[in-house]
Amino acid sequence: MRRFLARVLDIRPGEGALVIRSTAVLFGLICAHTVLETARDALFLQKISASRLPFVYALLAGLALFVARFNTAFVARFGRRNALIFTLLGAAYGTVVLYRLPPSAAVIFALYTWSALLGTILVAQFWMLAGQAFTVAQGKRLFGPITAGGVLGAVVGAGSAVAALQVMPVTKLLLGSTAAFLVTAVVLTTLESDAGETTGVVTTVDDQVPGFFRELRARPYLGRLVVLVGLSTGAVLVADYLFKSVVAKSMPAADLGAFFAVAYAVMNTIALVVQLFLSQYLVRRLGVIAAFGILPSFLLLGGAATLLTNGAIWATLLIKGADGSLRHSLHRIATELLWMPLPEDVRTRVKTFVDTVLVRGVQAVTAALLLVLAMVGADGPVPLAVLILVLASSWVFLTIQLRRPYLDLFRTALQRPTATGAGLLRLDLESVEVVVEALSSRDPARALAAIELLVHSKRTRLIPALILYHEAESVLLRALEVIGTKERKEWVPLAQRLLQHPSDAVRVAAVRSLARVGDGADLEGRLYDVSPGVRGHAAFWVAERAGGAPHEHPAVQIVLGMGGNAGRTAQLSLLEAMSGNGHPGWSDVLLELCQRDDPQLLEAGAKAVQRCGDQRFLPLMIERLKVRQGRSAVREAIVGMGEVALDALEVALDDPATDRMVRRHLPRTISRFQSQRAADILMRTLERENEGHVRYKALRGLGRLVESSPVRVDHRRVELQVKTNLIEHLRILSLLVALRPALSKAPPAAQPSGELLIGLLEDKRVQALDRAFRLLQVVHRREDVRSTSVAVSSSDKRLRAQALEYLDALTLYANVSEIRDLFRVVADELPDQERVSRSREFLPKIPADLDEALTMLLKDRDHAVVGITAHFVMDYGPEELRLDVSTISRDGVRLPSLESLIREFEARGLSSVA
Amino acid sequence: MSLETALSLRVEHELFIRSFFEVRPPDRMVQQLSASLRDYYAPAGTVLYERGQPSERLYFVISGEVQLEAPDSEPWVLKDLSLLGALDAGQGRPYSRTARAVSDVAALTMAFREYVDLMEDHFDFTKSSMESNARNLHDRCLELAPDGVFAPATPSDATPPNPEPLELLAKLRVLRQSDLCQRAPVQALVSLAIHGEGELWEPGQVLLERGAPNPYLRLVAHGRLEATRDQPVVQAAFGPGSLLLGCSALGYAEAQYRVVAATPSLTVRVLKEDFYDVMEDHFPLAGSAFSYFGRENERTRTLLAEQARGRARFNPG
Repeated sequence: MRRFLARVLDIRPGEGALVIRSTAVLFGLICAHTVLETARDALFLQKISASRLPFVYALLAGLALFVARFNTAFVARFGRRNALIFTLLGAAYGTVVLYRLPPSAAVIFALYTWSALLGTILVAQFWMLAGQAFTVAQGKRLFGPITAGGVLGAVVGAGSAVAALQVMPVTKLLLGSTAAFLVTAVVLTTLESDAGETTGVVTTVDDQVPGFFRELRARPYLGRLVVLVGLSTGAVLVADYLFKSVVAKSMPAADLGAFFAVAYAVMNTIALVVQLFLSQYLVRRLGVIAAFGILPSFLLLGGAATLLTNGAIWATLLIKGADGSLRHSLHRIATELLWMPLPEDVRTRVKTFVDTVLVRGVQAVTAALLLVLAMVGADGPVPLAVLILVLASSWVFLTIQLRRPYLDLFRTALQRPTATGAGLLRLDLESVEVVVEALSSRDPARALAAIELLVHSKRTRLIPALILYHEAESVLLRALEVIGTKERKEWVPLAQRLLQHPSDAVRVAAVRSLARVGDGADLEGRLYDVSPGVRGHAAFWVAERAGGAPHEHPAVQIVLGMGGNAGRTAQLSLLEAMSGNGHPGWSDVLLELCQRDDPQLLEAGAKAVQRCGDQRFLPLMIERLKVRQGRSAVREAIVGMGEVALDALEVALDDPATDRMVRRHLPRTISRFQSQRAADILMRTLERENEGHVRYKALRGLGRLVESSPVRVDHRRVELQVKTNLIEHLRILSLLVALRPALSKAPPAAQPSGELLIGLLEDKRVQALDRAFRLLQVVHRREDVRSTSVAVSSSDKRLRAQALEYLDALTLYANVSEIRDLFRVVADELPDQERVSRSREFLPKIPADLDEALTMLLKDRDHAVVGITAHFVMDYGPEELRLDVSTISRDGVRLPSLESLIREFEARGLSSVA
Repeated sequence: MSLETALSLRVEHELFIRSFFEVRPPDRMVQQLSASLRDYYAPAGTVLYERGQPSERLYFVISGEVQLEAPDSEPWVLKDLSLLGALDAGQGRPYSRTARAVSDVAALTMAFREYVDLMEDHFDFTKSSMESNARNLHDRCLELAPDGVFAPATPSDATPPNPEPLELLAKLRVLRQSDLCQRAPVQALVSLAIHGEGELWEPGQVLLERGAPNPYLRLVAHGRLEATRDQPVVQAAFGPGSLLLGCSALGYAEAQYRVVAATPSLTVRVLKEDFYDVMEDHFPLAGSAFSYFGRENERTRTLLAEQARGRARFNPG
């Protein structure tokens, strides 16, 4: 029973006491208020009339300003808990005072005002206390049961009122209310005090008003929330007025007390049922935003019904019934949850103001409107129904608009600075001075940094040609590359000077830069330079100038014929020149050099292949993918060859005979094509590939692809992969939960293999979750899912709760609905044992003990897992499993990971079990 | 702060970041670092962090001098363009020394966790940095020639190694117990072990000749291997658990050495390409490699400090 309750109510270890006490407090104060409310409504309508209600609301609005100022300072001074205790005691005292006064119109007016103020303040103070005590994730789970306490309080209060009115007059209800306030105050003392902890946001209303508007401007979400609170306040007030005016006209005054008692009792009973069985389910299933939209939807329905039936009492009962049964249950939870994502200091500052001043202000305005309608005789059911329709439809519309700003809050809270970076640097005069000063630094690192910064900011014209006087070779090389363009002229004489530089690399760079801009600069003379590197470059340009087939030019022939280190240097230099300025005419030279089986030439050749785009190089380039050095250039070269290259890559990927060291790099190469076809190939690979590391590369490639190009991906197919990985994560966790206790009891001989096994499973578990998040990123390409995955593993409880809520919202409309539930199980703050228990519906089998876990592991598709498990079994496991080890094979072939073990096995003369 | 000042500050940050790393960082990484790094100013005498505190933050020193102090140990003095905290954070331990500003210090600081994320996002840069670090570390170790360049060899037992081909679990154990892979995730080691190969060496057999290219990393499983080089003269031995030729192997500088088996020995070799490919998919393997550098760095600093003390004693003038 306890487990059932724990699952239904989802109260975790350590939360029970707090939840029970919070529930009891809310029960008490709502019970007390309901009794008070019953008495006040009956007395007001008996002695005064419904048409006077607007005056009450107007008075309340004025009083709210004063009360809000007092409340904020009060809470800051004493803490949230103590403030609520004092308010309850004050409520009891004030109610007794009003009871003792003769029930004149003025006293009843004061009673109505008093109870309405109490209702606002007490509830606001309670939820401020709860908002501090629970995280967003806890709120989603626990506000349901807590609010149920409040609803139960309303039911009990209303029921008690009904029973009491059988034997006593209405005014006696005030004493019952007083008693309930006092008892609640006592219960509240069992909660921990937060006095002294309230963050230093001690503001008065004078400060709150400008602060409030500042916050609204700074936070669009807050603005929308405030408008929604205003709309809902207005709508329920009009609904309340409509209900009371229709009832007052339909019923004798003497029966009103009993009627209201019964009506509230019924409404609160429905509210309790909603609270206990529907609220949590609806919030979880539909999400917070949709749950918030249920009440206005019913009001819309009721308003339409009232309009169509010209104010039939059943229609107004529908409206009031929806309000009465949902406002303090489902709607209350949803509203509080909508406040939770805001930072605590903002909540503290703004919520009190909203709950007191703003709500009362809206009530006053609405009341004034009702008064005007009453004065002109337009306060009948039909005009009021129209008003409700307008307010409720606005409410629904704005609720729908709230989803994006709601998610934005979590995005902002979860986002890491590294996720976006600081953006492109835009230089102003002051910062340009800093950079130019750095350019003239003698420290080559600083000068180079300045050059790179200007290159990145696309401000290379700020690099003066005088940089070519720098002492450092590295600076000269980079500067020549960057400023040696046709658009500038001033650098040419300084570069010509560098043709005599003692460094070969600088002379090569000078030749390259000058030749590129058409400066003849004694190129023929450079053919006889002492440096083979210079000669190689010069040969390129001389042949290029001469025209004709480069392969037949004497200078190129000489370079191709050179041997030894000098020859390689010259040939590398020739390739370098080709990579910067080559074209298809150089293909033959390039092919000859690449076929010389020299890794350095091949690497330099890859860059040149990009310029040539000759498909004869495709097999060579694909083969070259196995070498990391220069792989990026190789990939660019392959992509440059177009669809033919993509065909070849697809064939290579599908061919199991492809060299494994090439195969593993094919997916990322395919992703570089940035095309729909590439995305389709990668998706297929993800679904069908046997090798785990190739699948992972396909996933990473797909991730890069969707990030940088508008390719379409079938979300359902991706989400199925998410589901698979999440289930795998939980499956491994279930095995670990069974294994971990065994390791602590294992004999020393079994420790090494046991630790290896657990280490391997832990890594696989983490990887499965990582893959699930990467796949989710593919589906939600504009979201920063990576930050969420980091937050889920954070030790910060609030950050984890925000991540969970964000994931929940993100997966609300998933094509594969299970992934939302799976993420909830995976990411929620739970002990592993409980997490495994909640995975039951997703896992075909959960090992009950060590033996079952080992049996399952011996059948794993990863033969490394099987091998390590087998060793652990031999060292520690049960006899029956030891005998089974020798029978393990894949397709009749014994696993290599078990060879030595099986030899040992056979040496012992142990036979296998069939 | 005015917009102009903020912009100038950002320019200074970017200039510093671009000049800090020996390997040119990609532009995107510079932007991301720029967004994460926060200014930090410590007047002389300030303690940046205490020994024993969790090593959660890194400090990139722009200017100034910082002393790293530990009981019974020579203080280390670090100046401009130094990185504080990486040694400890990389090894997953609390700060092992107290960092105190000797002069006014201007620095940039960020969370270690964010730095690791960035390195993972820019793997090619990380790999190049790793090679550069390894080369520089090896060059510094050469100051300890002839016999302090590498860590002392662990003795091996006298029994000859099993001549049978190594199976997966045995290779896995060798990798797990090695200096280089102590902190590596098991899955990464499994991936390496699957493609790694065992090699048996007879006494006198040459593993590496000077100048010969070497595409492998070798981890010693059993026996004793001896390495020599000239200029400076180095004599070193490698036993079970060691990475043959240490940092020089990762820095592509091992061509300067000749390695011979002194006893019947067993090594597990892994292609460097495989090592880095696996590292790209299992980034904590990089953390294990950096942790190895950290330990080597500490060993080297300690020995160099002792050497300097010894010289000072010998030549007090």
